[in-house]
Amino acid sequence: MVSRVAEEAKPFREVLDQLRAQPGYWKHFTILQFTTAMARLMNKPPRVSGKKLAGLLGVTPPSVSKALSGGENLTIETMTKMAGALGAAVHIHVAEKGVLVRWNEEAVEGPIPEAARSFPGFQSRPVYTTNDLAVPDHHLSFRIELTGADVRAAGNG
Amino acid sequence: MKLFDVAGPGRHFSVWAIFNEDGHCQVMEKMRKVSREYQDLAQQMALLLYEEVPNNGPPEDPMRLHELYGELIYEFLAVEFVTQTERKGFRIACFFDGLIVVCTNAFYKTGTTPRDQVNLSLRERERYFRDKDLGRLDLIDWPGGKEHG
Repeated sequence: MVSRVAEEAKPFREVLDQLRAQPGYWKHFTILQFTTAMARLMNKPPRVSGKKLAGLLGVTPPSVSKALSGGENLTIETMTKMAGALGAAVHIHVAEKGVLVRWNEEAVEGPIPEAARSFPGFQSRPVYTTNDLAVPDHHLSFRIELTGADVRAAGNG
Repeated sequence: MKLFDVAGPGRHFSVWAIFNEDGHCQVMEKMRKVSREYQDLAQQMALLLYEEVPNNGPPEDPMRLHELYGELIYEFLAVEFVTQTERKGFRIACFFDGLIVVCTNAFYKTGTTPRDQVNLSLRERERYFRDKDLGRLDLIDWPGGKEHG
């Protein structure tokens, strides 16, 4: 296979660049994140059909179909209700355009999440000391050390 | 066979669009036309081809991608509601070659998919694999302008 740069590809790349520059593109991006996540949930056993979801929501099947088609500008209320009908919630992550975002689902109960383990100095001690603060030494007459357990306790408080 | 590298290089999945035997990339030409006529449809489709599929693979969502002819030909779907009940559909027929999604033809759809569009996609699929076996795939891109996102 030959892979090369060609002048004739320029207008096609421009079309995509122009579409990506439009605010509507990123609105559809958000809708797509939601509808594909809903589809994944609905496909999980026990499978939930569009008709069943409509029944759970107390709306007509066509209105569910319309909402999941991507052609409708969904409100947060609608998205929350639809996800809620499947026992789920809408989680939002905001990041730069074009970056690849991967969600990691972990139960609240149980082991400490990996993300928390990467917290500076989590493993033992110290986590933070007053030396980390940009305050002149003469204003500080004591030193505080926090351990991972303290951080966990603070998080649960 | 000449192909346009829609998603650009270095993505998890590749998305290519075929140039037909007349030398036209019908998929991208149609995209350009749709972007003038129905911006919402073009935005939705561009999202699938440029963000969703290259990053996450083909969506497991029958409202965005479904079988058109057995497991050989699939179609990407975009829908815009022109009125409360009237919808306009934009489709791109495609097939899979490992981690590559090859788009063959694009068309508006209101009712059932026109048979000639399915046949066209099947013919292009056959031509693609024949040319691939012969080492005649020619992938083009234009990385000159903006950087890929």
